Amino acid sequence: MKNTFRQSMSWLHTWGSLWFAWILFAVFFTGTLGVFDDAISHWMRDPLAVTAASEGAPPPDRLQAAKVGQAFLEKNAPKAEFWSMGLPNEENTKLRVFWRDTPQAEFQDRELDPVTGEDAGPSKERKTEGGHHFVHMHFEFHAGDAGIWLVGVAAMVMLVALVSGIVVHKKIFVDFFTFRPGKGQRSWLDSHNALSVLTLPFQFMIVYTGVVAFASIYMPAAAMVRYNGDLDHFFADIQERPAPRQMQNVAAPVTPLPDLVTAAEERIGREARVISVSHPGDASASARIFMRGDEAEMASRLRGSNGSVQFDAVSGEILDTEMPGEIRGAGAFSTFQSMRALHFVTFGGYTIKWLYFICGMAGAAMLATGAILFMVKRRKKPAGEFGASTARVYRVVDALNVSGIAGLMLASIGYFWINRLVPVALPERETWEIGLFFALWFLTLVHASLRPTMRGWVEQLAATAFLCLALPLINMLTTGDNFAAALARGDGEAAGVELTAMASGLLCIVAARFVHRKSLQAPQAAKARAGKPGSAVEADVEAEAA
Amino acid sequence: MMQTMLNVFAALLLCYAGMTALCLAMDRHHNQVLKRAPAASARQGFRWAGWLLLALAVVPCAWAWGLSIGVIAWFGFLSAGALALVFMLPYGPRFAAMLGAGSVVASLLMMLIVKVST
Repeated sequence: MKNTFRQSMSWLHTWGSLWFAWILFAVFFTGTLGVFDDAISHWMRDPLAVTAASEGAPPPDRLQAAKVGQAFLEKNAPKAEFWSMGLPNEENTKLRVFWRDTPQAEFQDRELDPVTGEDAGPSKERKTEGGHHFVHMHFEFHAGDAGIWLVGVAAMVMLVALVSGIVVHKKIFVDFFTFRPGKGQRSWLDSHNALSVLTLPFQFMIVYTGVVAFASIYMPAAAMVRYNGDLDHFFADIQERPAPRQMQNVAAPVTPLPDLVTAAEERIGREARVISVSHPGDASASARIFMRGDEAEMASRLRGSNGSVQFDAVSGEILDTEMPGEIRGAGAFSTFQSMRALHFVTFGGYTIKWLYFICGMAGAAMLATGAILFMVKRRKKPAGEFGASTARVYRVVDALNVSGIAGLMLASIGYFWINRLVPVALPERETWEIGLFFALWFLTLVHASLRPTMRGWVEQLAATAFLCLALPLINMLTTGDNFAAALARGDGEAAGVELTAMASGLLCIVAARFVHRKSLQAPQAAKARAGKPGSAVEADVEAEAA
Repeated sequence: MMQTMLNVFAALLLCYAGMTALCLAMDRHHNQVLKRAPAASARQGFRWAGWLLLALAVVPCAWAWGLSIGVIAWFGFLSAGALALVFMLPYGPRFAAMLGAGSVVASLLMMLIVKVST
């Protein structure tokens, strides 16, 4: 700890942030890619194969689908505690069914033919987690509750870093527009400051709402005590929905679900999208049917229902109707809903998504420049914080910087290649994709620890640039599709993925060239410094550090 | 669709122009662009123009999304406009400033088109 308030904040900002910088960079980078998760999933499922598969398919018949779905679940999951069905629509013509046997069990799911109810089997399209991989990565690192807690701690550290950073930054307004390139450490600090100050409202909002979105996991105590551990009851209460019904352990068949779909669609005047049934087969069974939202309407509001109807699933009696646009719950829940909407960008359409993308990438760049600045400062003048092992610790930080920043970008674009290269028929291919993503990321760490730091940067950035720029090529070779063809048929999502990748590739080339030049200059600069009288001490320290 | 695009670009350009004006109200950047210190009156003028342009940017946002979502979008455009300016300024100070001046004209034109066509 240091003596003045600003100095102690500076200590906190540096050392508090450093150890979390790589986790936070991953959270920001993958979360920002996740803004376009639908577009990425669309590209990864291979739009041509999806169109080919749905060609000649009859127009979606939701009643028939509900009938065959119910038959499938009654036969294959009679003991389940919960069923759910995603009804077919124009874009996704399959019927998707989900169930779980106990509230703790994992969901199982199948894709069915919506007319015959046959297991659609290995489909022609690529089974993939698509863009959801990035979304999951950013809030749990695919590690379940442990990951959620890790990200939660990192998010709190980020909030501390934002506040302490404002204190440390002496001249927010004087330096508001200041960026001085080509001045080494000065430039890194300038860009770190500019990136964070100019997007500060977004950074606070996105981190805070991210933590709030998981409030029921991070701060469950009050609800657990008040509701005796029954969080479903708690959620039903704050949403002003009927309380969940207790199991009665009296067998009773589920009423035909197509009738409920008809009733719900009549009542709301919209297409049914999802059916969920709690306690199927028990006398306490209830079903809720959720309707499809209107995209234009969803774009211009933060919260409000898309409409849903709850039934007694045995008698078919209507228990609750929520009309589209209806806002349930008191102020606290409404605030919670608004914050979630702010975090998940459920509003405003593509423009707002792009603004989130820009600000999110600025956040990632802020973390990257901060972590790099730490080492730029110490390469120039080692601070010897760790005594004799200082040089070793610096080397570790350098390697983590390379693989945490450049390596993650490499693995992320690599994930798109993996999607195209893993055989379509491979069982559990979606798990393979994610496993290979992590393997690739790990390899970048191995590479970064074996290569000299600057070479590590250049090589990983160059590899990332290559994978980005050649993405349309591998797509053309594996699926025959490419962005030009996608644009020609009006598929902006598929084209957008490749065009954005290529633009990112160009930026990576610029970055790689920049580091390459620096690495050529560095030895000369060191020699020049060593030649000057008076800097011999500094050179000695550097030699010791190296 | 066309109108939304016009509103989007008008908001972005107004934010960029407003940030440019605020930037020119500062001695350091005024000197960077125009190679001389600003007169007190010019400093005041740029400052007023800057805040006015930034405030005006709320209007196309509200036209595109309504006020509640519009304000959220406005914050995003403020950041985007400022980022564009700051990272362009050192490489082409005069170009960045001219672009700001052009943005005022272009954004007002776009708003006019939106207004007339509704």
